[in-house]
Amino acid sequence: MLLSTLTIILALTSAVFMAVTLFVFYKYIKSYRLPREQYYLLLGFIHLKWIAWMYISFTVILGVWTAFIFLNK
Amino acid sequence: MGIFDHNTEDFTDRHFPGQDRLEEIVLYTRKHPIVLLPHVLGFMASLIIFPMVIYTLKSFITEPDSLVFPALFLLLFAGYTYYFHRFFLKLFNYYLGITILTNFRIIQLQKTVFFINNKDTIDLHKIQDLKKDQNGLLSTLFNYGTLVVEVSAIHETKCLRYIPYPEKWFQALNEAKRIYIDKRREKKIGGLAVDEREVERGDRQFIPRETLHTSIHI
Repeated sequence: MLLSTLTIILALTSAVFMAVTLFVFYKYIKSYRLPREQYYLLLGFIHLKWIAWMYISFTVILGVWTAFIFLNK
Repeated sequence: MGIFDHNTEDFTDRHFPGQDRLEEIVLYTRKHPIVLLPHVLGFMASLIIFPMVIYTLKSFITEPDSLVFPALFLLLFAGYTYYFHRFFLKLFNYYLGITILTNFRIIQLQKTVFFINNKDTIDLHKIQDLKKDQNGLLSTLFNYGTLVVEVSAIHETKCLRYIPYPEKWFQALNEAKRIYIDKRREKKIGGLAVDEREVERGDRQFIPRETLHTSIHI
């Protein structure tokens, strides 16, 4: 019971940290936008928002998978 | 529009914190993506290793009421959570760390999401010497290198590492420095000696010889 609770707390903390990170990051880059004519994508095709969505998805998927592991132990 | 056109546009803090009113960005870049390669490979390996470890542990621990698996899982989950958050923070920090060439100076912004917010600047007129280093197989193949800037006032060299397209930066820096010094010299002798557009192009032949040889300390 205790271990399950701790795992849930850890998963929720992870989600909150992810949200705070994205908020602080996007707040800064929206305040200081670099010139569009020189902007280039990572490796020529990777958009920053793809990385942000990957981060969100990964945090959520890991949390769900953790719950699945605990339910199926 | 030339980079020294002093129109009424105000660039204060437009593209980066501390940007001056008349300061325009000539070039900017992040480090070459090769700096992310070890972290990306490590993360991809962890995507395979972590589930394998969990399932291997689960298969070894067969007692239904055992607390060993939940305790171990919690530890591994905590460790992996820290690891993957750190990986994504590294990606975001990569986006925030920028080297900028403006019409006045070179700025290295060393910023992270939470902990670091440093800025290092080199005024263009203080650059004594500039060198481009592009040694090694990877740097030649993937076209990145180091720009070594020797600063005259402090006789110190500053290195801009992992700069993509170093030749382009080398040429742009030299040109920006030349134009900036010409412009400062022109202002110090009072009024325009030549057509401003020709100075922006770095066309030195139109600057009168007696103007160049006045003893102005720049």
